[in-house]
Amino acid sequence: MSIMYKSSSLKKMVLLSLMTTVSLIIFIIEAQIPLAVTIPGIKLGLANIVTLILINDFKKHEVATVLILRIILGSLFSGQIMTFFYSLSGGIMCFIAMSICNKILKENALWFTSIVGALFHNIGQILIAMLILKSVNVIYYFPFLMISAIITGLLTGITAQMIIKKIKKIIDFEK
Amino acid sequence: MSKKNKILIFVTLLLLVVLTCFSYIIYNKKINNKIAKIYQDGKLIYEINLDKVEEAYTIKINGDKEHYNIVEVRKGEIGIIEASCPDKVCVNMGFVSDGLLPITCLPNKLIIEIEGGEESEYNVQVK
Repeated sequence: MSIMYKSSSLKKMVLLSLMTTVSLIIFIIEAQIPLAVTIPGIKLGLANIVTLILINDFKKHEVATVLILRIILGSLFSGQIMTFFYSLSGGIMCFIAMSICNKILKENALWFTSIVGALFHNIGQILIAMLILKSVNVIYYFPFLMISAIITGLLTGITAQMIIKKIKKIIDFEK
Repeated sequence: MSKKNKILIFVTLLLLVVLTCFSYIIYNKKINNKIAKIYQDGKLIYEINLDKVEEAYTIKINGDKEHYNIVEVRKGEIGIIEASCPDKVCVNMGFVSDGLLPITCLPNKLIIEIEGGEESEYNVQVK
């Protein structure tokens, strides 16, 4: 029994480490993609796909660990301290919002959970930007960032839904 | 498609329409008497009346350590032309002449806002 338990927790640990790596790679590659939009704060948020894949099948603290590790390592690799604060505030807001949303809506509305996550990610970033820049005028970016959040959130959400369908055939998440 | 999904799609579209309206209003709001204010770390360091600029010039603003931004001031418009940060978001924003959207450089805590004001002579460094 105890061996069984150990092997399943080991499997879980490997899987979570793998997911952290995947999200980190996505995060770094995404940073290299130039966007046509020049409003600061707009990005694709592709790394959130990993969080979305995990959110249904893993415990909250496990998903949060993957997310926080990715943010810490991601800002280390990008080499900017400021990135860390923006990503962290956005990431935490996004995660809390997605957890609540996912609890209410359940699995088949993952695309909407993703949008809610993206919206709150940007709200978190605007709040921290107001704090760091000590300026209220950053609020004018708000509607633009929200529109971009809906579009990119939908994109990542649908991608995550499609990946989950495929991945469930290969990896058995249920221990 | 389930009823739940239909409601969610409706909510999303509604949100999108409302936000687009807000964006449209903000994007098209014009400001007269263009006064650019450059803030660094929350402190006003430059105040420039853009209409009164005769010849284009640049200002170098140093941040902490190696960080810097080079701001170019032209008649009626202002923009960041060079920055030490890797993402260059502020440079890509180009020049602004009016409107509410500020130019921000998050890594260097720099923000350039255009504010309307009364007609005045100032073209000064406040530092």
